[in-house]
Amino acid sequence: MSTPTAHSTQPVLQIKDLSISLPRGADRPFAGQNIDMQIMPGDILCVVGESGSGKSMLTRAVLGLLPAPHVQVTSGKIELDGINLLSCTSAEMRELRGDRIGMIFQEPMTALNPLLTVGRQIDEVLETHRDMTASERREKVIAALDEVQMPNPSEVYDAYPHQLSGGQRQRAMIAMALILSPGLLIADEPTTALDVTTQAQILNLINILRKDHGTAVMFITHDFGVVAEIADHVVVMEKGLVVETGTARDVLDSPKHNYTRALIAAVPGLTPHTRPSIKAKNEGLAIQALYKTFTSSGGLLGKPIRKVEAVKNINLNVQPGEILGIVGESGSGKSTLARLIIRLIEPDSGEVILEGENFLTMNPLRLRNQRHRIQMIFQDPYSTLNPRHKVGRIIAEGPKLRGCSSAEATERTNRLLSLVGLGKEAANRFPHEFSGGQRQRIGIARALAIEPDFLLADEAVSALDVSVQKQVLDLLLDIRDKFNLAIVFITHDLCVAAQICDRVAVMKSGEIVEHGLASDVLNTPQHPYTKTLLSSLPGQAWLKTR
Amino acid sequence: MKNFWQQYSRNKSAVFGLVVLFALVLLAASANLLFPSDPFKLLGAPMSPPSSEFLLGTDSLGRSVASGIAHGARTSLLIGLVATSVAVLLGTVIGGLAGFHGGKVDNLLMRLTELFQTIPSFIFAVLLVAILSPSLKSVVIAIAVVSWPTVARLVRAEFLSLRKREFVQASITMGMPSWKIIFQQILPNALSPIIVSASLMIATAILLESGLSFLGLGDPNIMSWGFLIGAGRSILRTAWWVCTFPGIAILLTVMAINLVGEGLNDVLNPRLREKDQ
Amino acid sequence: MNRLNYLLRRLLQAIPVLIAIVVLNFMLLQLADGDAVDVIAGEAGSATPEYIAQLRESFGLDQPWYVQLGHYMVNMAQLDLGYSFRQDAPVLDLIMTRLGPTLLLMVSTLVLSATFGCFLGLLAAVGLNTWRDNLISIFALVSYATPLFWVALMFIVVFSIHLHWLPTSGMETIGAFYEGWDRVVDIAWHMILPVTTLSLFYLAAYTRLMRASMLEQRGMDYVMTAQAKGLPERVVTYRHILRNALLPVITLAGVQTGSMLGGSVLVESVFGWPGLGMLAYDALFSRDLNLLLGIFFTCACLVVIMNLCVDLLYTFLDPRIDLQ
Repeated sequence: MSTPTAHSTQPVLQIKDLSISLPRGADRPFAGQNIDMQIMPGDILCVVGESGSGKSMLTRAVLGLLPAPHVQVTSGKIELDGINLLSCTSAEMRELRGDRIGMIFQEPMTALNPLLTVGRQIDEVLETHRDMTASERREKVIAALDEVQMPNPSEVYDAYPHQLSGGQRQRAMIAMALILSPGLLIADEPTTALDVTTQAQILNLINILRKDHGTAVMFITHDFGVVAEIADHVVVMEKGLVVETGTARDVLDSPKHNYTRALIAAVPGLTPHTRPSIKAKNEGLAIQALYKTFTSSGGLLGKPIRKVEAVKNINLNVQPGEILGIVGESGSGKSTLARLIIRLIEPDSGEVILEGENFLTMNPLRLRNQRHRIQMIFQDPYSTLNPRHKVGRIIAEGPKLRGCSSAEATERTNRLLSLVGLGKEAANRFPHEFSGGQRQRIGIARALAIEPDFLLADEAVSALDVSVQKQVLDLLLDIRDKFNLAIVFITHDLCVAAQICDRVAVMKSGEIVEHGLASDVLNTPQHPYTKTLLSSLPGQAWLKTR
Repeated sequence: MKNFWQQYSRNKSAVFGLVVLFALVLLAASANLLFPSDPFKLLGAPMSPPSSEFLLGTDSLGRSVASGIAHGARTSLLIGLVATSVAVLLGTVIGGLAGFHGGKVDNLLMRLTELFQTIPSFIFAVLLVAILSPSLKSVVIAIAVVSWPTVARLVRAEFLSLRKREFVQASITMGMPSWKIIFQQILPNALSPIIVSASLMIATAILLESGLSFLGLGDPNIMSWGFLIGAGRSILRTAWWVCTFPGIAILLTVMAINLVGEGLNDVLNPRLREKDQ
Repeated sequence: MNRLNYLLRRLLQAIPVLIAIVVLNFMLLQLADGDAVDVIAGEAGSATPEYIAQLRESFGLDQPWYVQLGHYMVNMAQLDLGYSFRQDAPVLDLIMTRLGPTLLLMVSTLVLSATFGCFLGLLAAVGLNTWRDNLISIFALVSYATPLFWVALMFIVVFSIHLHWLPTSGMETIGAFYEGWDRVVDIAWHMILPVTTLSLFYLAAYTRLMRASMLEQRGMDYVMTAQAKGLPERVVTYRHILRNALLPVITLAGVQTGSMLGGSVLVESVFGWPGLGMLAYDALFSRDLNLLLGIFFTCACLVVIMNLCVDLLYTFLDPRIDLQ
């Protein structure tokens, strides 16, 4: 946690009793109600909340970019350096945006115009707000790119967004937002789409720049690790209401409101859970020397062929009653590995041994009969269930394929629905009537209905809010014990892995760089990459105390 | 279903389209009642202007234009419907195979589809009918052959994206046979865009048919709107009504079908509707 | 240099397409009644029996089909499209004399409809749900639903027969023998009706696509970025949204070439415009199938060329195109 720098005693941004209405037909009448907050110069205020808490609408309101007429400010004040933004004309707001208020977004890929060079897009800020010659502007843009630690700033000036990496794009966005040293920077989940190592760099950069420029930062996030890393003050929002305000230390260490307490309690810590280690028996699932290379070719006369070694020489095994975590950043090949194991894609070579038989060389008929033994839980709760089938049908489908009678399948469906914490009546409803967490539970029930020996969970909780995440993790632990299942749990989140895994394998560029008991890997990492991953984790000092 | 009508009726112009279309279907269905005699039969003096006897006048040989329009409505709607059905079936099979199997099959089928999209469609249709000799069947074949690539591309894209969806992958891991995956998991979810594009395609098919019969490539034994206009061409100076009214009929039909298609799109593909707001 | 290589590669990729079209042509010939020579010579003995016998031999009609196909492809590769006995001239020569007028019609239509279509689409999207948007949308709907040949006839009734403003048919005033600038004006005068007719339909397509494309782009994240920079709405619309929205419209221009050539058959035949479409119409009525196939092949080539042009244009407009 950083100490606030006290340049002046006047807040840069002060929001008083702000209410924002939603259109009729929305799930609640207000996006935000009676919101109060303020940010001092050089301070970082984290606005924390789960999805649907109204935090993004708040940023739009400050910028004067609410999607009118559907969403409107109905009462209250937003003061920037004492000017009430709500009484500004749209021309006046335009003067302020980009000059006095800068903004960065979640998705650096889509936030930049694909058809204009990065330099040109930053230059637009100067062109609009300052009277400078073209060469002065170019110089200043390159200096700004340099300040955000962009490699080769003058080359990046002429590059197009698609030629930069995700982290570089976000740096360019920051350079654009801060080029005129605005008093206020609004950052809407700016690191959520980035890998943990890149996230650490971007957070560090924001931290340095706000000190150098004395910029007040309104930082929207859902991640308490990030809050612990960077916040001076915290505002917690729930369903459009501010439920708690305070310094970062107070809110994190002694939350007052029940909602905050529940949220923080649900945040997975970094302390690995310890269980008596499971003796290696010969009845589990063994992965041996698995390889997969993707080749992209543009056909006969097309582009030259490109090869990506997605999975290289993977050797792993998992025993009944055990959870093996596979941890890696995006592009590490962990999802490819999952799809190889379950044979959604075919490997180049290697074996997946199930009770002495190689799953990967079974003929189609045998494969179809054996498929039920490995089941998968998917990432996206919105695409995991067929939107046109009722939940009952979705779950009963597997048992029926295995030859269960309709009555048996219904009975099993009901039993599983209650096991995953949903009532029997859920069977008669369609997926869209359920929340994300509930859909993941239905997905788990579907996987269990077919009575597998092995579960493969691919980022199964990544799309969920922390409070829901915890419930689903608990459910997974519960079913592991009940059914003595072997689970392979794939995640990018070290904290989640610490919560649930007995053993952890760290993947990088298709290879396993470190593998061992969860407590060993997370407490005393050996490989430099594992060390980097762990040290990049935001707010680890706080996380370790939990 | 009730919900469907509620949403559909929110779009005023789509309701208008449906009403016009319904009237046309009624006209086509009752053509034999309203105008019992053969539309090719010479009923009155050639080129008589619209009057109480001949509501929309007669053509150069004394055939009733109104009767021609009523009987032509059957031809247009029938050919539009049948040709579109054939094209949609063909396109769905080809696009579905390409999208479901991917890889080499996809590559081959998509090259074929692209080839058919490169070919100038109307000229190809003209050639086909000229070679097969004009008849109802050859007109339907020609229209279907030039129309399926659009459906194939659409269905392929839908299948490709649905195949990657997690619920389809889950079905595979359950050991569900491919035909069940295609017909129970993928196809029902791809149906809305197919229905919308099929409805719009009927309009295009009707335009194509009218163009063909205008060039004299329609079935010589069946009355059609394009034929009426083509026949009235030479007497344009003296008898404007022979060309004018069938054209208005085509315009109304195609417009009504387009409006209905857009209305269906609003209801069935709600994502786009939200964007419009 | 990269761009040239890219274009060459695209050109190479187009070759299989052309070969496939030649094969298709051959198959269509097989499909027709009688053998290929009957078709090529046309009906009703306009070719001498000696010539037909000679043709049969040179085609090797007693040979298996793949040998025939080979012959056919060799001929096509040498741009030998056969001989039209109806018109008593080589098919290639006939096509070449008619190509100019058709290209003139096509290019004028393309420029006119794309420009106005983009403009109207933009206007509709900017004033979404105002009377202007509604009016433009209704106009687009109606002209999209109107058969081309009927519009052509109606234009003739109104502007030529009743108002006497414009000529009914042809490309030049017969017997006037204008030279130089006068000739240009005369042709332009004759062009007005055919170009307007053909443009109306495509104008509608461009307008609808442009409107939809503008609306889609307006919801993109980069628009929010541009607004957050404090750019005036005008700059956001024209510099950011418009450029992105134009890309699908350009794709459409390539895709529509084939359809436009089909439309020109109808329009040229109504207005007596001496282009490929008119030639096709005449060939249709004299059952000159070989000529028709030649025109078909030429049109397919035009589509391929047009698609190459669009590809080339894209390399300038979209930096994401990988030239490597």
